[in-house]
Amino acid sequence: MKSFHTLSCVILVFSLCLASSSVWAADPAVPSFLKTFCADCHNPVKMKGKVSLTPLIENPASADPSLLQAVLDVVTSREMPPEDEKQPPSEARAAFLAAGSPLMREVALNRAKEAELPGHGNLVPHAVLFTEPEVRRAATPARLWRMSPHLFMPRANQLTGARFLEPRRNQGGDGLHPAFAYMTPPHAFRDDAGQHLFEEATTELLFNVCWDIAGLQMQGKRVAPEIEALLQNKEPSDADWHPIIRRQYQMGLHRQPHDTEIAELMPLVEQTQRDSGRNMALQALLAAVLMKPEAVYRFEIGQGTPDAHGRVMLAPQELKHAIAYALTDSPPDVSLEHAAKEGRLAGRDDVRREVERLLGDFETTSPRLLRFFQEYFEYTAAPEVFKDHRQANAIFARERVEGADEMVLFILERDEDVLRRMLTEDRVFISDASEQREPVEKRFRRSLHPDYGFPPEWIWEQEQPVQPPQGRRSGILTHPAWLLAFSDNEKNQAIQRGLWVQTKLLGGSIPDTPVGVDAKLPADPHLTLREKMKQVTSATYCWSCHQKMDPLGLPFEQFDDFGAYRQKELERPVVTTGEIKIGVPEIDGPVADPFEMLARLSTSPYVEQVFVRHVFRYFLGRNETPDDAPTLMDAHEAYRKNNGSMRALAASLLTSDSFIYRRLPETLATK
Amino acid sequence: MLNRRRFLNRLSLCASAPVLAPLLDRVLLGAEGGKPPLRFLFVVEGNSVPPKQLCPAGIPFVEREQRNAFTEHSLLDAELPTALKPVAAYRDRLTVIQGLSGRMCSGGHSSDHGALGAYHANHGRNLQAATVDCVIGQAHPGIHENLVLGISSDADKVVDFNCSASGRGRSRATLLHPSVAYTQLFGAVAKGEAGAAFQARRHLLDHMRGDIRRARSALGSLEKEKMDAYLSSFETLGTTSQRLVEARDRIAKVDPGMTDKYSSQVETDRLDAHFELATAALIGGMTNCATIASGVGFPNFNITFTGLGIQTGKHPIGHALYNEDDTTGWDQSQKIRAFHFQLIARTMDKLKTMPEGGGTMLDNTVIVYLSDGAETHHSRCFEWPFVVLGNASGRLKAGRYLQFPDYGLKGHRTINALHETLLHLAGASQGLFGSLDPNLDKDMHRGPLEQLFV
Repeated sequence: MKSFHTLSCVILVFSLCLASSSVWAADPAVPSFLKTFCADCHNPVKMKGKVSLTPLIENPASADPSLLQAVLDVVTSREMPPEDEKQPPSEARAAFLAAGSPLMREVALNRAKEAELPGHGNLVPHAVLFTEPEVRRAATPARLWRMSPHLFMPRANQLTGARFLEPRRNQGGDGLHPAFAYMTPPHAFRDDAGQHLFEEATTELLFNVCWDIAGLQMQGKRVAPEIEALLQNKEPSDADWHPIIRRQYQMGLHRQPHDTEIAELMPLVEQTQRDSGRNMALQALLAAVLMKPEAVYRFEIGQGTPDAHGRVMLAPQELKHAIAYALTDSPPDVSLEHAAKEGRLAGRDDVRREVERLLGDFETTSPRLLRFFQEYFEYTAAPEVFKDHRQANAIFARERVEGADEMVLFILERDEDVLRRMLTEDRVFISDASEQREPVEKRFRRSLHPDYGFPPEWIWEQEQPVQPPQGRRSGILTHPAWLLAFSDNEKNQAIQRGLWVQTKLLGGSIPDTPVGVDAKLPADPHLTLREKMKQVTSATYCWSCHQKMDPLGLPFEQFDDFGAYRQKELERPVVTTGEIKIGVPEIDGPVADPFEMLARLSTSPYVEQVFVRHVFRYFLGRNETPDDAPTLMDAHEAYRKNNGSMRALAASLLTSDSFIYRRLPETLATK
Repeated sequence: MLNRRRFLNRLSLCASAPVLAPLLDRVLLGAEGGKPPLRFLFVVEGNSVPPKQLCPAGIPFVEREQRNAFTEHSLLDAELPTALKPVAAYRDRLTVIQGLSGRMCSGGHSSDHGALGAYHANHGRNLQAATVDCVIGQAHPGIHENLVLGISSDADKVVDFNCSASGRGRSRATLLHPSVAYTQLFGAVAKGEAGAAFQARRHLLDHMRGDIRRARSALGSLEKEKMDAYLSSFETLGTTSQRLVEARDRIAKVDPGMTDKYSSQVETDRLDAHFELATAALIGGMTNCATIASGVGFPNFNITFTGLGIQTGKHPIGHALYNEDDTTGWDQSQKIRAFHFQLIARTMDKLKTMPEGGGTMLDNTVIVYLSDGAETHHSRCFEWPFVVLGNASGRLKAGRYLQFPDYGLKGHRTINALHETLLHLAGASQGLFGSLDPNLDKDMHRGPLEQLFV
């Protein structure tokens, strides 16, 4: 039988060659055949050969392609059903195989589409992405990328000249306007270009917020001179409106309008002025520019004649935005504006110059880099975890997150062996308890100090990070913020932790929990979590997936569900063993504890490559495809050559073909 | 000479047809002596409803595992439990349904759209189809297809995507600030400067449609879905705006007026305001299907009902529900639930004062109360209690406590069947609604639930 990797590669490449239209029309021959001749043995209970065909029978079009291919192979070769079992009539076998072929196409196509979805990028086989292709033809499809709420916040504040949107610490407000809500599923990078569009609800919110912003632009002390002049003019002529239109274009779109674009706005001005007065006309005009498709979507279409691979380079106007928004939450700075205007943003070297300039300014680019690690590690979810056996005001979840942020920034600023240090740093940043007022300080010392491995009476040291005197730490995955984020009310989330390691470090995929599974751990208080999980997940049907998670998550039982290091659990020595088993010799094998596991993973080139894949998704706003292999390989090489530099990795990605080229749909490319 | 029906038909074919059609549907039905479509109000309370809290004294509460057959009891003389006492006056329109399962939703703190969708939404990542409220709203739109309002533990949040879905992968926004919802519903009837603003905004909507059309044309097939959605959204907003203008007189009559509670930070005020808005919207024909999501989703179900004198969030209350030594959590939970039914009763009172056909609007309204997370705090969805108020113009045999057989037993039914029952009442039957629990027979999912009907 073909190996999974080879088969997956073949299927993926095959799927990319398919037409976009659906070809399989729910032929019942496949499920009917499987139900009649295979399901007696290959069901969730018997699991003969560790195979259940139930998912394939229930939903053929969403089947695992490698499983379907394997089934087609064994039925074709007459290996199955076995000789001693009831044999299908030749017509039934022929009907199954006839239906199987188009189904295979459909399944492969679905799998390729699924691999584009946020959170499913790992479905693209790893080997394909780190093998030099015959032709380098990487490009991102031409696209409209909805502005993120992080980009909208400074724009709204700049336009209004006020702190219109802002994060409010400890008040639940994150300053992210819901018109630009992130709709990406959990565990994926939020700003996915394919995921977001304006539908009815968000358009209504957009309309309202742009109306409000326009209103604020006309009030207060910081009204723009062009607007002020019009407000003083009782009978403005058409020409009196033009400076305002030009200014609003510059503020909202970062370019000047064409004459036709000015002309297109004048009927709105005239009609509204007639019906509702000058001020309302002004507000409508200002809001209209802010809602232009180009103002709420980042246009990345490219310009020029397509090359042999159908690719065009981003236009300077697009590049300046792409670079600025990749590395900051701000619009293009003066240097980028000048470069675009003066024709110095026309090639890869120009892009490299600007990218390296920005990356050299740590203060400017660190918020975006930090956000990558926040979304990658997911420790910012810590404040959402509910605990009822400790008062909420004694958990200090936000302080934990801030401590983890400081650690990430500390490592990023030094920019050496970034991933390795993220996984192995044995020191922590912790806030000064004495800076807290009474009685918070007491709670801080009593609860948070021990969670970090410090005695309650510990005197804060200014030199940070500092090594906890009790227990041991190994990077973000043993940080009290991450451990809290991956816990629930009463226990560690060992399965979710294992899932994190499996997907974010090992590049694996786990299907969603099957519907109908009653996944509940026993409540016996005398059993450890490991023992409870063993009772539930070791059944053959469950273990087929849980073997990829449980052995990776259970080593973190070294810590309790608040993140405190422990040597005992239920008065017994805590068991922290686990196993890595993914078919990569450099990392496979049993581990004694989380420290051994993380140390081994932190030096693996394979794990680095998986990390590079995630960095790619964050900066490109999409999942990687086989065409992106050269981009990923170059980025990994840049990372290694530069001693594990995150900046070198980012610079490589942001000067790659994947970043600067766009591929037009065939219908447009030929025009 | 045109008779009234032909006149209305002609009118519906003229230029303003898309705008007027839904309203004319109602007029047409009236002209023919028919009835307007049923109105629906879904009240989804975050986290769980313990089945026992809906069982009246005098009716034996049977634990799920002991329910071997379908049973029914009259509620007409029963002493209603604390939670349901506020609707005692409507006991003849009350149906309590116990024993439906919803295992296809998986379980946990929240079903993430599953309560109304009858599918496993996987933390909102997999919205498989429109939820039942949206299917009904789309079948019988008022000025708005649906109105989804709610409260959240995060009082700063303006909007959440946590309860209803208008289609596959499309969560419908839950408006969390009553003041924002009020402006959207009643902005058209505002006078003075607000009236001028409304007119200016209508011109702006017109302009945006043209602007987006130009951009879409220039882009051709590129990102067509995004541009179509953007254009379609503005067209819908424009249409809604036009409908609001046309129905201005009618809307003005139901305008509840924005009071302090619309901008209150207190959760009971906000919920109160949302019920007021939903009631007004149903009476004014602004929608035929409203949904109130009270602290739906995770983790934002953890609302502290300070307005009821409770200082504990719903999350710790959920954990304390089954504390045998201390009934505080249980009592608080009942108090919160009773508050919801108090607001439901107020809505029913209001509907009862509105004449319609030979009766009142209450006769043509069905209110469905359910929890977001089935039967218990960390639910497994083996049972999912429901309360239905209303007899759907005499079609439902109300005033009863119904108990279905335990999971998997003969006669057992799932929440899919109840949702399909509602669709059947609304004339939007799908035969089989939602996704299937693979451990149950398909027929257990099918609706309608014949036991509910006269």
